[in-house]
Amino acid sequence: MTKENDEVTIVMAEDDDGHAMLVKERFESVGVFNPIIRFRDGQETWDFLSGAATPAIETGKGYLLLLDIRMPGLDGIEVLRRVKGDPRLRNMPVIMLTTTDDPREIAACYELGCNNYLTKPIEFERFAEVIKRLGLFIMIVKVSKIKAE
Amino acid sequence: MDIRKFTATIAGHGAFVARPAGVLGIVLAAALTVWLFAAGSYHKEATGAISKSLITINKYKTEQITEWVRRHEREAARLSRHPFLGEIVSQEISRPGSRRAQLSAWLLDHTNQKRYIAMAFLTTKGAVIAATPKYAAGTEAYFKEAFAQASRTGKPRLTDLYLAGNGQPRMAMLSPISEKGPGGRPVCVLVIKIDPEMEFYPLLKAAPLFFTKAETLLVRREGDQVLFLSELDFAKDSALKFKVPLSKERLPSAAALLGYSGFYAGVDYRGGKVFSAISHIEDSSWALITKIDRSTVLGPVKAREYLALALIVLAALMLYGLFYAVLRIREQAVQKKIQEGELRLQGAEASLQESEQIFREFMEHSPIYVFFKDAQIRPIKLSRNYEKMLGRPLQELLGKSMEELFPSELARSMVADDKLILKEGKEVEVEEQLNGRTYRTIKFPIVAVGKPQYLAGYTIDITAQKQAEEQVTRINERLLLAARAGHLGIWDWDVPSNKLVWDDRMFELYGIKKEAFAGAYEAWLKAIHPDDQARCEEQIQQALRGEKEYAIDFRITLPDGTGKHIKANGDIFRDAGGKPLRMVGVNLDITERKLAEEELAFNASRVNTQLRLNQMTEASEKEITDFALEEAVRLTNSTIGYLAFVNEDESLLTMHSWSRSAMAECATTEKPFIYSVKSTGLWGEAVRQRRAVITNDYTAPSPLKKGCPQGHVALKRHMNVPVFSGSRIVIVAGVGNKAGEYVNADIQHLTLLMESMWRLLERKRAIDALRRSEERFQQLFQTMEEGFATHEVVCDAAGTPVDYRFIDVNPAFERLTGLKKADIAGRTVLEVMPGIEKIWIENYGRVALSGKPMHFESGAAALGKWYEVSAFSPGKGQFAVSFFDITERKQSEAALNRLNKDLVEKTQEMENFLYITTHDLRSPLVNIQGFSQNLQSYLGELKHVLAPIPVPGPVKNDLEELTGGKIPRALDFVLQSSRKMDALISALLKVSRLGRVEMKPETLEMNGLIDRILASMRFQLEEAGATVKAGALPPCKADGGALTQLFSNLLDNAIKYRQRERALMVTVAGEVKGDMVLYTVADNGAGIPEIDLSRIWNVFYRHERTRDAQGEGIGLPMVRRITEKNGGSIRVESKENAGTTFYIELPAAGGK
Repeated sequence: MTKENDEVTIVMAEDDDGHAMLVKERFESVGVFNPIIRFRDGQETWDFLSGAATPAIETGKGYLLLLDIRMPGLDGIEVLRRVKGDPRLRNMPVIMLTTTDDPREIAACYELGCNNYLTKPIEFERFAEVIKRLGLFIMIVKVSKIKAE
Repeated sequence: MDIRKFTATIAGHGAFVARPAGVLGIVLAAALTVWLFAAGSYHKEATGAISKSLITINKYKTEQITEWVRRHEREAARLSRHPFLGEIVSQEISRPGSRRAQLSAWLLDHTNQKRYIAMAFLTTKGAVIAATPKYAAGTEAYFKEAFAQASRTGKPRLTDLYLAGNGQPRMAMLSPISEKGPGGRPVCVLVIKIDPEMEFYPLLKAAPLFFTKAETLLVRREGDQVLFLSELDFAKDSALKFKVPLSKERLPSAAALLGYSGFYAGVDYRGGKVFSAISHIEDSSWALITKIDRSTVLGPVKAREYLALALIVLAALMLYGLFYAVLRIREQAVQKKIQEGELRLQGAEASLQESEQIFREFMEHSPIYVFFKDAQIRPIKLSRNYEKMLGRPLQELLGKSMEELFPSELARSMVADDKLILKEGKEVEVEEQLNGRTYRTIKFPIVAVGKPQYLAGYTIDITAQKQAEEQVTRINERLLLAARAGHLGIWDWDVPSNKLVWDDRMFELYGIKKEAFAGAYEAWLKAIHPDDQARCEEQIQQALRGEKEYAIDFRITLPDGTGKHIKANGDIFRDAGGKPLRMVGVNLDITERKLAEEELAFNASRVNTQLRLNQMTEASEKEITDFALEEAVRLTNSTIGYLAFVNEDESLLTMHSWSRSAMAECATTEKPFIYSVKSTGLWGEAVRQRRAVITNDYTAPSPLKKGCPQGHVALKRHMNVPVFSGSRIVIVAGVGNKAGEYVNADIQHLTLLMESMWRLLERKRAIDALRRSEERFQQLFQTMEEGFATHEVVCDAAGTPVDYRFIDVNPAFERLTGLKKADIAGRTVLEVMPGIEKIWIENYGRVALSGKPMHFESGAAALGKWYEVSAFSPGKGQFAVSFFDITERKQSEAALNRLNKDLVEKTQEMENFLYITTHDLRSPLVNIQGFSQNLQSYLGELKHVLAPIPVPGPVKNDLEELTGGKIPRALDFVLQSSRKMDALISALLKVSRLGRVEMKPETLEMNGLIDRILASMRFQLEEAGATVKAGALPPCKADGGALTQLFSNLLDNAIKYRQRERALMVTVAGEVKGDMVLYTVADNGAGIPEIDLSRIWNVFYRHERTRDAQGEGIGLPMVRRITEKNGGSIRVESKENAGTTFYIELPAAGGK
């Protein structure tokens, strides 16, 4: 892991507490100790990202967004669309982590500009593998800092 | 005198018959001259031709060589000016090895490209800087000198040909290169070595066709020797080595080097005679010689010359032989003639005295006028009777001029004739008039050798003969004129000898050939129609007896069977006793007139009948046929008649009516009405033969007659005709018992009448049918369920429909529209419904004007009704509309559509529901699995933590049982179950996703698709020991991906459920069935129990035995969904332990 990415904050949008916890644990088990801010739905996540809520995203820091698709209210795809439509957030890496493996949905996400798409498997080994890949991804991805408006 | 003349001529010949040897000599000399001349010109011609060809080849090659040399000189110059080479070589020189690789590579590449043998960069001193592997340093004196010159002057050049150290001919291109481009001091010289064998010598060798025997060679001068530069055809290893002294005589190459050019006949290096073309190559020391052996060129010419010589000598000898033979024969003949002539001369003199005596007597008593005149045209001898003609004694006539004897005009023409006779020696015949009499005179010259010319002749008085002739000619002319004008045939009958003479016209009239005519009265009588013979004979007898003038009309029958009407007249010449000697007369063909008369009568009668027939439109069928039959009987002069109709296939005759007279005459009580054409007698012939049949002698036996029943009307004559409607016979009409014979006119008569009758009947039947149809239509119109209305369109001035008028409507129309006929008939639609849309008028207008029908469904919003409408045009400008109420059908259709739409929506909803549900079901599973796994891992940690802590035995046992047995077992169950559940959910997801995927039908080549599936399943198939047979599969139209999945699933199933005791065999087949293709996939596997057959399509159904086997339980449901989504269907047949066959029906590729 490069030093720069150590300071990257992972923003997780996940409505299921269990999933959130599992992800967090698995991250730690593969050596990803970045701070994680978790939101329960799309709206909360977007409020944080857009600066509508406090605390909000901070200028000068790097963020990585981990999005579940199926969430009450704003769903993951909508959040992704907004992030990629916002000049300030556009360069933030977005990883879709979701139960949906529908090829059309996967295609839609890549079309909107997500950087990675991972299906949540339920088996331990495979889940661990996914998280490991995600951890590796986080290590190598270039996370640009949020610029001042 | 003739004899004397002939002998004189022969004497001339005698001198000529001499010295045959001399003649032979002359002839031979002439023949040799001819040959010498011919041979000379042959030679000249051959040499001329070869000289032209050689010069052309030589010139061509000279140009090629020059061009090659120039090209290489240019190339040397180009390389010398190379922009970079100098710089690179300089760098290499200053730092050896720095650019060598690059230079070597360039050299090698260049060598290969240009087919050079070697290249090198040399310093100006000759040291190698870089070279291709084959480069050998030039040690030859010539090369060294050329190189030194090039490096000193800096001028690029192509060297001459020189002999290399290895004995091979070589050329070199030398390109001095300077560092700073051209003009500077050279830093190196690029040497390119060329093997002339490669491309230079071939230029010399190549030769066209005949001239493959020609050799082209290149030479240059070396001191006082000729050096041959190229390999010679007749001297091995000669290039650049073979030399001949320049002084050698007639050597073409020497001549070339000494400045000759053009055609040169000489002796070549081998000493052979040759023709050659020589030239000097510009800007070089080379000369080019193209030569060919003289024997090659003149060989065939020589052979021809000798043959010609032999022929000429032979011809001369034959000519001489012939000439000699002719002379011998002539000589012998002449001698024979001379002997004969002498004998005759003695006999002649004795008879001369006797002739003179006879001649004198003749002149005294001749009845014809005989004269002899001298060259001055004065009589020297005249026969005695001239005294009578001219009224003067002979003494006064002799020696007088013609002027003095005859009237001057006659005398002048006589003198002119006579002079002409004397001059030309020809006989002349003239007619002359004198004192009202006509004389014919024949005059001729008499030529005697040694005597002056004179002429003789005789004259006959032909006055009487002339008069008679003229009279006859005049009569004949008049007669012929008359005969010709009147188409009269003239006959002349010598009564006592019974000799009948006809002129040409008579033969023409009777159609008899001159040779075939017997020339007697009976021959004429035979030509007359049998009915008229008696009458004609009677008339002739009357005329001969003098009771009546001979004038009669009669018919004749020509040999070809046709008939003619003849009008005859004749006069009788009798002897003094009144006995007829001769009868002369004429025959005139009056057939046309007779026919015209008959036709006229026939027409009048027929027209009358036709008129009456046509007026019978209101009469019944029976009345019409009766009338026609009675008329037929009357017009054909018959006494009875009948009429029978023929059925469709012409097998039956139905007797329709008999004429009244027939009814009266016929006593047969039972008259059958239907006869079979096959079994009827003579009267069925008209149908069988399909033409009119005349039987004039009904009493004569005939194989066709079947006999008459007892009491049947007695038939003497009979005629019947078939009446055709198109090609079918519809009626047979017959008449009988005419007094005379039935003739063709009767047939015509009957046929025309019956045809008219049939037309009338047909028309009547058509009208009746129309009337009945009209009645039926009216009935239909009134009672039909459909509304029906007829209209006519109303157009504006431009012919565009703007309105339409109701003509008639039926009760259903009234009922369906609520419009009453009484209110709308005769009114226009705009009057009745002013608000009607324009489109109706346009549409109906188009139907009425174009005649194209229309069919559509239309809703009337105001009435809440739907109608199905058909519009068509019964006539120009009119249209009829039929329609019926389809409101109910429309309503049920709409309901059905609604239901269908609902169903589609519901299905969609179902699928979405399923999809979302399965996802939401999955979410908690992730937790169950995840935390169970956490628990497993925590348990491990717990065991680890507890291990060092001392606990009492029983507690330890409990702990171990919990941590090592109960808890892990429980967690296993949780994980197992959640895994199973995930599998189920995944399967459900797949099925539901298929419902959402859109099918993209395309034409699929099925054999390829199956092959690809088999390739991807190869491992599984091999493992299972399966054989898959696929026949020729017709293409279908479906989604390619989906079908791949379909067939994969079926094959997968076949493997999964195979009967393990036997090798698996799967057969894939297909056939087109109408718009569909039926594919079958048959296996010999375990089969499906009957009880399960209906359940196999259910999601998660799996066969009992394979419950533990892997599988999601959605294979067949997917297969069914795919088939249905592609517009097909699937069914299965199976027998337990025998096998399973799936039938998949899909739209065929060619279908809609």
